[in-house]
Amino acid sequence: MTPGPSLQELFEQGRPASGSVEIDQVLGSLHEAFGLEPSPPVTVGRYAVAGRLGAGGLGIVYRAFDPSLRRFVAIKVLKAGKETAELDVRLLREAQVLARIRHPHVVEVFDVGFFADHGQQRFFVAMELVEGTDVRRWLATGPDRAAICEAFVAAAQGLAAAHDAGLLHRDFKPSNVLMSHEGAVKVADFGLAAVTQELRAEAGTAAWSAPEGNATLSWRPGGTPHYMSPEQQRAEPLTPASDQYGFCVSLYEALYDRRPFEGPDRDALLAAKERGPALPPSPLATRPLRALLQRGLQVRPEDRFASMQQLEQALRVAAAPRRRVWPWVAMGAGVSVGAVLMATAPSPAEPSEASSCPPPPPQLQPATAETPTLTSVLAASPPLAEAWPALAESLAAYGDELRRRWDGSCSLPPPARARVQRCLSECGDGLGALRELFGRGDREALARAWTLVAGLPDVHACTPEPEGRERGVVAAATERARLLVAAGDLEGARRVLETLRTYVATYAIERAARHVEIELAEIDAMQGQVDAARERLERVYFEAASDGDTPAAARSAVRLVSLGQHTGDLPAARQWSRTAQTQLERVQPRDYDLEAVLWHNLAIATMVAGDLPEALATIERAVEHATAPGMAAPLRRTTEQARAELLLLNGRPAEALRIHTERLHTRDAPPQRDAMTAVVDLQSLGNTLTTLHDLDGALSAYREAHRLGASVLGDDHPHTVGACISLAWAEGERGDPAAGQRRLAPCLARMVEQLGPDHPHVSVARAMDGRLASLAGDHPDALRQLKGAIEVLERNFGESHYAVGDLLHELGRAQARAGDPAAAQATLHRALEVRRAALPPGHVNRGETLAALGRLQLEHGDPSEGREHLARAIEIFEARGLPEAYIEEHRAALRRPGEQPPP
Amino acid sequence: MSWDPRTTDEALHRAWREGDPSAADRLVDRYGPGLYNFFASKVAGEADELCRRTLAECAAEAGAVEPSGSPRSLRALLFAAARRQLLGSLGEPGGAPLDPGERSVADLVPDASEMMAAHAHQRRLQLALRQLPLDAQVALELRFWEDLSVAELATVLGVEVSTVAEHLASAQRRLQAQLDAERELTDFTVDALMTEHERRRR
Repeated sequence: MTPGPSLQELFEQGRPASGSVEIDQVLGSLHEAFGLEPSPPVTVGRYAVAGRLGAGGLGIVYRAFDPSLRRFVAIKVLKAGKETAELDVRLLREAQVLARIRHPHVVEVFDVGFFADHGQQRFFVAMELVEGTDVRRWLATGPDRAAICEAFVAAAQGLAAAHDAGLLHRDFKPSNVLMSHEGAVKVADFGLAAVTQELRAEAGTAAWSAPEGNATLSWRPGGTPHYMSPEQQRAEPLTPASDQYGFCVSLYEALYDRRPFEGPDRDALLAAKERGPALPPSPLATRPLRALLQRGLQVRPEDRFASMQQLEQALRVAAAPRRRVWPWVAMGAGVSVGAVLMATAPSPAEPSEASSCPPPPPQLQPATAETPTLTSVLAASPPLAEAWPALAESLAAYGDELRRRWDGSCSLPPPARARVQRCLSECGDGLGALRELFGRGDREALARAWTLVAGLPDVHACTPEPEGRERGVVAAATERARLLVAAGDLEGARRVLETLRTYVATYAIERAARHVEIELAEIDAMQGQVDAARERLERVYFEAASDGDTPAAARSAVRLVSLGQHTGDLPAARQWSRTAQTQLERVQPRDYDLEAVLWHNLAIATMVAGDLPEALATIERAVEHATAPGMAAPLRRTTEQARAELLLLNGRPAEALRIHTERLHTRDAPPQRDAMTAVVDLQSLGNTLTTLHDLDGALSAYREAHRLGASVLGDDHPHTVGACISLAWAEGERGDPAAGQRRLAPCLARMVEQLGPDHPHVSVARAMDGRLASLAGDHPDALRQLKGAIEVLERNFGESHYAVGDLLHELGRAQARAGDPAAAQATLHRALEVRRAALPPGHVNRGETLAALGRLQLEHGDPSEGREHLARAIEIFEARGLPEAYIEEHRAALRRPGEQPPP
Repeated sequence: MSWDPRTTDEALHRAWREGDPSAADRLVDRYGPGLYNFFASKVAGEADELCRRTLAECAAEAGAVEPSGSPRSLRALLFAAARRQLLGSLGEPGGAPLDPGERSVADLVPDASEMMAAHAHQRRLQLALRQLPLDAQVALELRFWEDLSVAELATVLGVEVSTVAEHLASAQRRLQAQLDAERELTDFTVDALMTEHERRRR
């Protein structure tokens, strides 16, 4: 036996401390349990310890109260030790890097410092309190593959964010990934193990030996051996790929329910890692996931993924279900609605009832939506009748899926089963509401049928997890509210939302509550209570922004933009759009849907205010976001449609036409397109073709628009009325103006009835009537109509609005036809001024006015100026792709007598 | 009621049994740290709860408590209860009783990261101790750190007084062997802060 300290001395040296924060805290709770006296509060720095959360390799984590900011935080008190000055600096530096990372999937660091604990200096870190569990414990509850992948993707994003900031984790393992009650995933304990590693490397000892020099007990620095990368086990320098390794070991465990590498000691463990993991097929570990693990667990770091981002991408792809059985994704209906970013809600603990499986409720039973009312509506409208079978089939398939999942849920344990079944019931309620809507023959609903069907709750969200992402109840209720809104039952929708709000309040989920408030504001706005809506949204915004709830802050800001647009308050819309932009930049992962909606709404607002080029630039941004891969089709479509409109308004009709043919397929009948959408598209196409002087094309587009509108939406629907007016006008233009006027009259009357005599749309319609009158030779009537219309528009929009320019142009032409060239020229000069002010250079309509004026001037005015104008007009037409035949007409006028046209 | 610090354990215990919770406060102060440390090195995550249960057992102790040193001293009863709680907590899944004469903490809790002491000298001893059979570890710790008498140890371990000396000697031999061993110890993690400087003797 070697000489050394006696056991007595060894035990003396090795005696554990009799006083520490940990002991104080336990004593405190024992005093409480058994004794009388309140123990003095245990404090760590300024923080008051309120309970113990858990222990880790670095120290114990407490729940503590920060009296300065009046909030609860998590405090990790690192184990006592004699710190040297270097140690302080290093620790602080690591904590500083960590504090720089603000990411939803990284536990936020608030404060670091030293405090005196029974005469010893100890280091603490104050962090975001995540109340819930950790992934290690969560995995023990047996989540399904999708949930596992979702959690790991989130953790990967957190790791990637840290890598971006220059920090390695060094000790990634499931117990270091926290999961809040709401299912938020946050990676914790970054880099804290780094300190020890660096120190040991510097001290030059990988093994620590006994004071007497006997190399007996030794251990390696940092990290938990099973999760350590081979390079870490060998005490080699670490890279981000080393974190990938730990991540993949954790993922392996999650999918296979056992560790990838085992060994009786570290050397054996390392050898096992060098041999590589066994990757047999298994229910949870699909082939793509196995391939991912294969790569992430490569022995050499350079053979793994190039970055954590790449791994995350690969995981996302690998996790996606192979077959898209269910094409519907929960999405709102309508133009101004963005994707629902639902916060998750935990389900109330269900008492385990009788173990027998209840039968599916009535709304899940097979049913048909067809009723006598619906049958007659379909009979009266061939387009609807044509679309109906496919719709009915979709509804039936959705119901079948619900029933199938209900039966499948019977094999789950009672609490999980109850969760799934409640979610499925909610979906069934949505289905029932939709069936009822159709059954009533509601035309608006039928006209937007496919959009509404796409809005049915996502069945995939009905998962059995107790913690983690249960979106089912909240999302389903929100979708049901939207269906009610679609049905026009605003009060019913409001009730559903208010009930939902109580539910989320009961479970104290701030974030879901905010989204419900946003929906309620939408209803306020629809009911005309604009101020109430604005107040609600602003309140949500400020709470969410101060809380760091960026999704809710972004959504409420975007809604405020559209509110501004609806109320014509462009400055407010612009201001909120800047705010929304800032918030959207912080949302992780990027919410492209919502960004697209933001730009879309802002573009409309800008357009209405008359700044056409700005509006076009803005809609381009929306299209950029909405056409990102994976974006929902209805949103993509809506923004493309708006873009086509804006291109047209910006005087670029050929480009607008291209969108119609290539993107919107306006003339074809793509399956599953809402009649409503089709009507709008066709109208827009007609306008485009008119601008391109393709009157035949325009006519057939308007005709189709009107036919669809009349048979699907009814004669009185604003879209139908608009199409009616366009059609009448086009027919008059093409053939018999007087007949056109006769057709137009009743449509105009209906419009006046609906909008009132001074509405701008009415003025535009009157101007069209005036033009027909002019063509028919009824000049006094024409001039009167046009002048009256101009007056109304000037009053509404000011003198320099593009719509005013349009009408001035028509007035000039009418005056010319009426045989008053002087007045015509004066008017056209004015029109040109307005158009120059309101429209961007190169706009087709500037060309039109230049051409009209030029032609007049050639004969009745200053010919040289006229030639200039005409030449310029021709340039514009050529640049804008107007038909050759049309341009040739103008060129002919420009040619002097005797000149030959070009071959 | 404020207590003279020289009040005996048995007096405090009696007062507590008779319904004076301030006596419990004194006992908590006296034995809390030792009890906590007893658990912390073996089952850190549950030290809290186990302390509470141990004290609850003591509170329920019906018979009279004898003075320190005797088989039925408070210390003996306390740590006997603590040992029972420890065995229960470390118990095999499925409820099979575990043999504290054979199994060690190292067997039962391979991942010691949570329990590693901060200071190096503490750690060395701790690592060696956890390799010993549980009862050997308990015997040594209580002997050296809590000064339990042979009679008290007999109560804690549930053995005859005459065998205690042999138990202790055997445990010491095994400990020494551990300390001398060349092979590296495995299956633990150490994430505490330490430097070479901590190797100094206190």
